[in-house]
Amino acid sequence: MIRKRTEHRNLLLIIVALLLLSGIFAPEYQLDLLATAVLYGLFATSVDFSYGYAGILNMGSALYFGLGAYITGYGLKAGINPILLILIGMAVSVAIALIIGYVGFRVKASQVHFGIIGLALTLGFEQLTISLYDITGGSNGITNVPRPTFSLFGMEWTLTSPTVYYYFVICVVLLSFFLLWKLANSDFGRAMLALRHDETKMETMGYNPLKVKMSVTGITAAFSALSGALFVPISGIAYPGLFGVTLSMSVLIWVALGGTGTLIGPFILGALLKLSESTLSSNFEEIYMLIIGLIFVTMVILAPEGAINLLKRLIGWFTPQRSKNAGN
Amino acid sequence: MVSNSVLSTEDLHKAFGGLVVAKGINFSVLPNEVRCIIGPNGAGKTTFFNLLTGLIPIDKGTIRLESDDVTALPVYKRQQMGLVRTFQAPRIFPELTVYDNVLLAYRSKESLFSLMKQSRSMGNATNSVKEALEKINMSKYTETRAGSLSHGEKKRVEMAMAIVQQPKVLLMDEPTAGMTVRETQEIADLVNLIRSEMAVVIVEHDMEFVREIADKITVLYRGDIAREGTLDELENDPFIQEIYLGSVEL
Amino acid sequence: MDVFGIENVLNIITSISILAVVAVGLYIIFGLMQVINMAHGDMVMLGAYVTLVLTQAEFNFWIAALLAALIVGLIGGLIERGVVQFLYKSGNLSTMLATWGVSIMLQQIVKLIFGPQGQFVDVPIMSMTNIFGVDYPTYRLVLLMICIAILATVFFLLKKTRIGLLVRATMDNTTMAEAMGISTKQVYFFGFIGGSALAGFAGALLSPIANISPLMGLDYVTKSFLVVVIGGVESMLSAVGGSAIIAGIQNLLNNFMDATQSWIIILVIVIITTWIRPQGVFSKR
Repeated sequence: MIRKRTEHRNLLLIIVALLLLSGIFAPEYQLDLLATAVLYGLFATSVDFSYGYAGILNMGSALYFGLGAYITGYGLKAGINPILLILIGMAVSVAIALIIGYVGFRVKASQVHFGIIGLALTLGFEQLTISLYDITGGSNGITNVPRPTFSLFGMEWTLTSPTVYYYFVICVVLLSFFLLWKLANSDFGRAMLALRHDETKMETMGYNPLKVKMSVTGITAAFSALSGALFVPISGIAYPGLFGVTLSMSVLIWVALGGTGTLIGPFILGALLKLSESTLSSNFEEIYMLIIGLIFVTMVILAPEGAINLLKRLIGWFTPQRSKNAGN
Repeated sequence: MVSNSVLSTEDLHKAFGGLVVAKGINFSVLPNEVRCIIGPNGAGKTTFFNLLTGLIPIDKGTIRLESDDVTALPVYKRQQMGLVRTFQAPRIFPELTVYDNVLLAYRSKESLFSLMKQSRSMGNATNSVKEALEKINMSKYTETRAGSLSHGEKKRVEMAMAIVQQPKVLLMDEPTAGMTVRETQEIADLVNLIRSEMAVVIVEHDMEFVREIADKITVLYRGDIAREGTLDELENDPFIQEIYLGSVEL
Repeated sequence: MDVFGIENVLNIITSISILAVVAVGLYIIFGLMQVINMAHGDMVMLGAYVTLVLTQAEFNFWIAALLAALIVGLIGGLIERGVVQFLYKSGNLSTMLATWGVSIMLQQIVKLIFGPQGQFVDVPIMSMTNIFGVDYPTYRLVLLMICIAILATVFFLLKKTRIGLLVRATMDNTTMAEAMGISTKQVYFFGFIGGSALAGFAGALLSPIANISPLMGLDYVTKSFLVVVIGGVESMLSAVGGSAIIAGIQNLLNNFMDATQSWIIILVIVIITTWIRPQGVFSKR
């Protein structure tokens, strides 16, 4: 994990450059798509944080994305300050994550057990959202969510234009990614890795596994909610599917196939797949899904280390090897 | 119990179904003492360590660190109070470097939030880690991935991780198992180096090693302390000779 | 409807028994290989669709149902050989995602062939039976009895036969089983087939009384996993017991509240059970 840092940094810079340039050169309608894709990418990265480092599997990660989305959607229509809404969405998600984490980790439920609870939870919220149609608009969801305008630091922020909102999203996403990156490469990140490898040993070293795991799930929930919150004003809709199994599974696929623990792999894969999903005609939806399913299955078997590591492997075959010192 | 002991147990009981591994063990260690626990295989020595650290819950009895009753405390809390152990098969984190392994051990007393940032007093942390690595003669290995080390090297890294935590009591489970003669001597030197800072309790089979470093010996047999004393006292004890079936030369 | 009336009670018991058949199928697969088979619900769906096709081709319903079980079992075998077997060493996430991929593929293929709309199979027995003073659809009674018979058979097979012993030994300790000469590879293969066949048969039996659609499996796979979580994986009876809790409570609650609320209650129960008894209600540990 540590050695990969410098190799990924170049990739990161390229992506940042691409994203910034797109804001200038891409047509406006595509900026909305790009912003959406990038937000899903952040969502994937936040899930990779839990799974790729601490080994925590949540089969219902969409819960936090959906919460962020709905709270923002509802609040924006009610004219509440968007920044406040984002913070509320994150706070609610973190609270739920901490509660579930406490229950699950305190009793040392197995990875699968914990994952299934997460799934049930998100399905429960999906149902709840559909039934509370007075607040949430039922199956149709919350529609016509306006783009945010608000005052902050004495200035009026009008984020109605796609270009402006795009840059806003890019800034937040890059900042978030940077934060997660820093965390993962800090001693906290190393503690996560160590805990996953040998929890008992960590206990005898004085680390409280419950605390570490709860912190991790909380962080993931926060950034997942953030992604959902920023997502809604682009499409203008918050719908129950944002809570569903499909999104939860998709994000796990982006994590696994993007390269668990790389943070950047899931980001790229999630963003790219969302882009292709939006741009490919809806006529092809069934065939598209069929092919995607086939690709998933094939890749899980043939390239379990994920796309980004596969890419590096392939690049390694074609470039001369630099000798790597292993110490002395 | 001895009132100034750094680690003590009172009437410790533990049974796994019909197998009794502790029947009323009264054990105590003084600060800065080096105690060796010996006994035939299967006598429950490692289990005793597991009971002391809290990895296995006891059935009855009390465990104290200095004057504090730690019987009900979870494993990580006991560490925070100064009880540190190493394992028979070394447990380190192979994905991390040697430096990071020891650093992680050092920083366990900090808050999680502090771990997210660089340590404010990174100077202190770095010095402590380097010091610990010096003591085990692995200063050149700081950037080596711990997984690529030899068995003996891993054991030494685990020891560095233990001593960097500045324990009051260090429990070492068969530190010389699988070590060469030279490595064993280095471990003995290490124990002599740290004995002024902490109490050390060592489960061991290597009697030469025991002879060199032990202040006192506890013989564990069938879940209880059979004898305690110096090596000289125990050497000629016929009971001791018998329980080893005469197969070990003391 | 009188909540504790015969009709309602029979409905509840019937729901429990169907879920139990599906859940026992998952119990075998999960208990053996720790595989989170996301396609298990689609086995139910396929069982229903195969029955649909065969009955439309003039096959007798019961023959169609048996054939459906067989065919779905074989599909399960294909999945195991073609996908799952490569992932046993790769961990939970890999098998879950791979089977999810398979699930997507199966759903899409079915959608392309049959369209997304709901379909029905004609009820093979149209009459009503008078039981305990109430008129109740005969087919449902037959379905109930068949499910109980299946569960009893599986129980007998697992507990009393040599094959069952092989399966239970492998479930308990794969390494030991292998060391004793059991071909765990084969056990996994036939276990997957058996588990899928059970789900397929349940789907076949459901086809006259449930809305057949490509997505009908989702509900079953979710519930099956909840059964595993609540009941535990100690034995087949844990799965049956878990089904009783999940299906029983949900159906009972549906009399007083809508589906959403009953689902939430189930959720709360799952979380509380995890807290109080994480190994499952029906585990002895």
